[in-house]
Amino acid sequence: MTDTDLIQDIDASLEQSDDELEDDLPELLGRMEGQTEDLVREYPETFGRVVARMETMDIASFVSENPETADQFQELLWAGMNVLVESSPEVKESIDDDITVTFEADDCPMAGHLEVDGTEQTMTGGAGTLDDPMLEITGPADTLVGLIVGRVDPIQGFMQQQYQMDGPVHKGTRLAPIMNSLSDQVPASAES
Amino acid sequence: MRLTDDQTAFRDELRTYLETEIEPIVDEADRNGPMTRDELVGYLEDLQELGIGFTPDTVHRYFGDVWRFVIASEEISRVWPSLNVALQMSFPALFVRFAADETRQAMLPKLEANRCIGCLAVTEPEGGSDTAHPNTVARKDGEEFVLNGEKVWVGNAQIADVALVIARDASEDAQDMFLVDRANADFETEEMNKLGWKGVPNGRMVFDNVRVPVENRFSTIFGDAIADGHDISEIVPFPESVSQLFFEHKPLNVMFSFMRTGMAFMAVGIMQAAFDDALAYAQDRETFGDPIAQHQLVQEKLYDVRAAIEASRGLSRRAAEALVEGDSDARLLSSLAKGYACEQSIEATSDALQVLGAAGLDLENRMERYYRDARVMTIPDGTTEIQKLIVGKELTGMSAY
Ligand SMILES: Cc1cc2nc3c(=O)[nH]c(=O)nc-3n(C[C@H](O)[C@H](O)[C@H](O)COP(=O)(O)OP(=O)(O)OC[C@H]3O[C@@H](n4cnc5c(N)ncnc54)[C@H](O)[C@@H]3O)c2cc1C
Repeated sequence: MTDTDLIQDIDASLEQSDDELEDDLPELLGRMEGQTEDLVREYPETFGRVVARMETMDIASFVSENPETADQFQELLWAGMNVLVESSPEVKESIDDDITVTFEADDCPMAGHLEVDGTEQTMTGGAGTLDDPMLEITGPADTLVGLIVGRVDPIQGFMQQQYQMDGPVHKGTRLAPIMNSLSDQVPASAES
Repeated sequence: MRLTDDQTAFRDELRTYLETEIEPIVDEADRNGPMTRDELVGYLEDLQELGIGFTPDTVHRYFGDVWRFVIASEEISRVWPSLNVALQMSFPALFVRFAADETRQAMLPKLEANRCIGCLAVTEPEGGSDTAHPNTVARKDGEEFVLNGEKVWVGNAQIADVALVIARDASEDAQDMFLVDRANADFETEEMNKLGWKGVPNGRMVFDNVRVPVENRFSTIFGDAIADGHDISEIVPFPESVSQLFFEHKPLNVMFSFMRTGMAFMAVGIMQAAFDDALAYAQDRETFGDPIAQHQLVQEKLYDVRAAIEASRGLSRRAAEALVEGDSDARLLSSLAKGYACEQSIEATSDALQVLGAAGLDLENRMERYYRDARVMTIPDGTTEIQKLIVGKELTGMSAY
């Protein structure tokens, strides 16, 4: 099976209802494993549409029902973000500090992390927590995914108490513009 | 706790100003009822020279130094509590610096000229203490929010240029605040009269389809300012130790902790004024051939008032220290100090009034004002009952409200 088949299948699933998409997603994610970054790089629009669909999906219930795919689901998200950072000078420019963050959902078993390197101007994320992160973000899975893909504004969401953050406040305020510049690059959110 | 030379000089200069400019007029000014806008602007001008106020040049020296803030609260309240309230409640004016263009254009020159009066509109006719569930709602309509609702008892309501209004943001189904500037959006106000704090205007505010730009939503003001590279201490000019508590206690709660610590010192100032008058009176007034200070039961009253002052001042200083240190107990201690000192001020002014006998009730005498002003202290900014519930939650991790 080729990449094109996989992309066609993803595109076809994206046409379906949320329930049907949620049924298909574990298998699709499984097929993407190992080549997620390449796929995102080659088919940014498809990735953008996946991100857009996450806005309507109930992520907590999806992850709770498919715990084994939670990591793959995050890998897709983070791979997309990693590619965006690599390819966008705006995001790179906004990175001027070292920041490590752990994201932990409080309504389903989902945890992820982000490492921002000010010197290298890189930002990499993945599933699983870090040992000693500078910042810890907790909240509903929908909100956390929203933060990563730009649907939830980091400062506004915090001020409105949509999620909690722990750690030094100045690191949190440095992270916010970086996350914002990243989400500006997500194809779906750039379109809307 | 020892004041630095700078803080001592600040206190002494403030005392001199209050003794020479406010003390001679305070009785009449308070009797005349709520101060006018022009009168408040006049006082703000004087206070700015002492480093007190919310103009961009001044606010960092004032809010940026917890000790200066609490010294001001105690000292001003020793002479005229209403002036302290009118001053403190104007703080939302400082947020015009990062608000929408139309608000900045209308209000920033006023703020810079120290003529922008603010107010904080939280309390609603239904709901009262239950501030987390406002009935006032902000609905998004294009690039604007449309505000509808009613607020009561708001300090400075009638004379304010800008109001920071707590409302439910219907677009996010979350609680937020909205900065309404009166040059671009009007609202109705109506004076509300009360037992004490006679010199400060309090009022009802009615928001009837009031439109504000999206950029005047408080969380957006914050977000935009940070995205523009401003430091958090520029937006809310607290010391870094205080803004460090923003994550742990939430920004709005930290603001409340700050203001409540000021309220605790305000109660101390009122008690101190009542005590000074009672002590002087007791040494002067004679009954049964002796100064009443000679009678043991009068000495007991002086003991009780002095004990209330020392205990309240000590606790209030502990709350201020917690803010200075960014201590995670800051919220607990500010509520403890506000609750305790304000309750003590009722007892203490009542005892001090008793020392004066009928003279204490005489409307020509200040003591009755101290008593009325103290009686108000346990209700605004969270009633004593609410302070107890906050402390309870901080202690147990369980919320009873
Ligand atoms: C002089 C003055 C100035 C003010 N300034 C402002 C201002 O600038 N801005 C503003 O927004 N508001 C202001 N307020 C309003 C003030 O904050 C409220 O009055 C206060 O929060 C209490 O609300 P309420 O009066 O509706 O009492 P309610 O909430 O109706 O409470 C009535 C009684 O029930 C008790 N109670 C309520 N709930 C509980 C509970 N869960 N457990 C135990 N006891 C409870 C209260 O402690 C109180 O004793 C001011 C009020 C006054 C009097």
